[in-house]
Amino acid sequence: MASPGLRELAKKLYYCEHCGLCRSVCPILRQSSQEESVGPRGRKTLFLGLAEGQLRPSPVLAEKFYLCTTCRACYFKCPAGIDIGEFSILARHELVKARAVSPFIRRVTSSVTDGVSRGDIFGASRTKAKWSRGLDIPVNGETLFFASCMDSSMAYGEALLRLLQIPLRIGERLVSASRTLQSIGLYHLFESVAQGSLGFYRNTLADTVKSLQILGVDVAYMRENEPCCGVALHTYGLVDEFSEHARKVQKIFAEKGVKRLITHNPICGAAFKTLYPQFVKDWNIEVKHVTEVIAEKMPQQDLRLPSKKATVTYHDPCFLARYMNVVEEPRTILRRIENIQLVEPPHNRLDTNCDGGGGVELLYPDVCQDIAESRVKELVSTGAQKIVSCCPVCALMLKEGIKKTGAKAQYVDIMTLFYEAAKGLHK
Amino acid sequence: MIEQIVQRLVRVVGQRNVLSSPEDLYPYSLDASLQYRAMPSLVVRPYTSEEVVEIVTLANKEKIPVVARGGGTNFVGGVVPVRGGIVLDLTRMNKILEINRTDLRCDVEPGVVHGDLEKELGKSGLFWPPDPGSSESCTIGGVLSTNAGGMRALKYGTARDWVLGLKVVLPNGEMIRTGARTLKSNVGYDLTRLIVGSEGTLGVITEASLKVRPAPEATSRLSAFFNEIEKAGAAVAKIFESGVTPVIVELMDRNVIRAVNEWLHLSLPDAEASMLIELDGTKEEVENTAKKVEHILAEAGATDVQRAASKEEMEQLYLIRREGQIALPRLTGKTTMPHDFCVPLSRLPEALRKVQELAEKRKIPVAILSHAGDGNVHPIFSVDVSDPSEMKRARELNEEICMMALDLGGTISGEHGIGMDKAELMEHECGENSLRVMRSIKKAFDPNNIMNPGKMAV
Repeated sequence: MASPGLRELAKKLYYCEHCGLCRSVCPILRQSSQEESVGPRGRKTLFLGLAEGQLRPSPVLAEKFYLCTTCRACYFKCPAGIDIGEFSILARHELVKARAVSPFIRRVTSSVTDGVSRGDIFGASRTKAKWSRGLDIPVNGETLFFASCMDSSMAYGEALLRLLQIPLRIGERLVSASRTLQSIGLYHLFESVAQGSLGFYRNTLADTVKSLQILGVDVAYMRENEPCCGVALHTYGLVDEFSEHARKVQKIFAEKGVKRLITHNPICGAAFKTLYPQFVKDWNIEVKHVTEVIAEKMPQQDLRLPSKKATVTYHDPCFLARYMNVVEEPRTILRRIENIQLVEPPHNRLDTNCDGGGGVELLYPDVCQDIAESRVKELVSTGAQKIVSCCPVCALMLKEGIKKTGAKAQYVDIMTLFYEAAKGLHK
Repeated sequence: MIEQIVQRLVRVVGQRNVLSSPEDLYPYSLDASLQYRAMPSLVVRPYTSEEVVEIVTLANKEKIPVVARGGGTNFVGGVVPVRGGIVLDLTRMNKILEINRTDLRCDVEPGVVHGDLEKELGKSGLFWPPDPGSSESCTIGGVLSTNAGGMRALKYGTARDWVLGLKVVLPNGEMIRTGARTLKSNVGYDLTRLIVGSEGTLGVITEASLKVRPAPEATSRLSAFFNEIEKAGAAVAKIFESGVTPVIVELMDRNVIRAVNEWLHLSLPDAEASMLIELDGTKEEVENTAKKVEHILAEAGATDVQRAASKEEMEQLYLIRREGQIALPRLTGKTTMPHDFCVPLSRLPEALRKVQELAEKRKIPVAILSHAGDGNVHPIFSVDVSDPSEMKRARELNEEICMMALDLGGTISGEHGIGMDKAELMEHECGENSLRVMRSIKKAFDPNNIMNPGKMAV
């Protein structure tokens, strides 16, 4: 029987007029064959069914709620202002509590819980600060650069996604076993498996900090001691665990006297900016995305890329646009680079199209990769040679989409592009 | 038994297009009426007309109800499978088959989303005038089955006026073609117009030839406020008298204006009504008629008359109409339920006043949006759907409003249709004999009563 709390939450869904506008923008629904149980309106009805006790918690029901990238496209479309993504998470919470999720989801959630508590969702806390080697960044300071384990260790995420492509669920088993492998110290093996992409994610972080330093923004970085923000716990429905973890993180920041966080990863940024205030009492740390800081501090003089003129298109990460409300700053940065021509994809800014990330890419790699392919097709339809964005999960998905579609475009992080253009300024 | 039927259906449409788990079925148990719910036994998702033929043939043989469904956006319980059976989800049949600019015709499958068709036609400089509010989510099959209208119905009429012919699977599994693919046809009984608006009770539309027209060169939008609803009514009459037929004349009552003011912290005039007018035609025509309408509005006692020149300004004038629907549920904390009736233009001001009187008596907050140019009124109820006594009062109020519309020489539905919501009121409007004719038509088409049973009192 559903909890009274769930019934209370469901009342908000009474505002829903069932108009179905949300169906027109859902990325998951677009890749499906439009069945009603898939997509925001279906999930609304299923949530009501669960809350009213008409539907029993089950792995089949859980799948409907886990099939949501929480991209918020439906929220921005909904006349009644309902964030169905939020309800997906609430339902996941309920279903995890009832142990009504598939064994694979259970293994992933337990792996995430373990990872988060050890400071890195991929279990790679021992290697996560490698990107900062050779850089002069203090460990203490009021303004913290929050590197995010998703950013520093996303190469492992890529490796996991590769594994999941092995048929016959062998991949799922390997992914499930990855935590054990990590804990017994086999991360060295992962280092070599992920070799190809480690450089990309690590350079992105290094370029980000170097860019901030060029502009005279002093930041500190906690290195191996940087906690994980824990957003993945929330995403997978481990809401109580997230709440507890968030309080611990606040304590760590308070002890260090942190007043400001600058993130590159908009998913962690969104967690600090929108979730922490809901879960942590007296959360008063200012949170900014690095593009906000750069756009503000950027010199008036025009910058040039050392290479020849490039046509680039910008992909708005859902978490940056629809959670952190940052859409113009990345464009300001790109427009100030003289030999860049910025072309907008049909879906841009708050109307952006999700690329299949959002934390469920490891649960439903097939669907999510289809979404990535479709977004890449849209992005390259602009004629751009470079797809620019600023999110490790978008990087993962868009790079995957480029590979799958064979698109003649390269994925570049906005901070790498900025650093390339700005490094000549001064040091 | 059900297992055998499932097996046979799986052979027709494949395993993944026969849904039978409670989790898959539950979302098909309701539509935008939100007050009627019933679980289907199965959901079947065909891809071709031939598959529909096989499914319906089987259902007819086994006397299993079949409820054809598109976007599920109707307000009257039209696709709620009240007798169980098969929900035929047609959203996979979503191909635009042909757009023929010379013949001014386009052929579509029923699952095409209205907004998608509008976009595609737009690329060829064409448009299909029916414009239901749910354009981005409703399907052409649903638009036709419910004879949907929309704001542009004032100038262009409803779906029924824009369809040339249909391909329909009858309840016995036979496939027929109705109408023609020409702009005119005068051959026998007009089965096309009978099936359009029959709410899925006579057969399943599997293809439609729609009449399209070149998109107008220009549009212009005006807005105005009125301190008395009668003056607004008089203004509409004057506009028609002057020979101008606007595309849209929308009226929003004081409750809508107040909700928008409160929601967006604006200070729009606290008038009794706000009016939105849209004109289309050639650039020159639009410019001239807009001036004329501006003049008429001012003479009729309108205040704050504004005309939009740019696209942004046009959007701005649409503010009350658009934001009204957003503001109402958020301010009341309740579910908004749009209802529907239509009266002769001369009785519109009287009808609007009576709705408010009746609403006050039943203690149900009601705001009014009206396609005032054709006398179509949508009283928007704000109700707590979890409170049975409030829902009962809301149903009684809806009934009283419908009876009031009949008293004023109007009709119980301008565009939402009958479904389950107004089935009991059918006889009041149509009379016993008319209803008997309808029932015999139903029987001729569907002797086993398998097509969307329990709807429209047939």
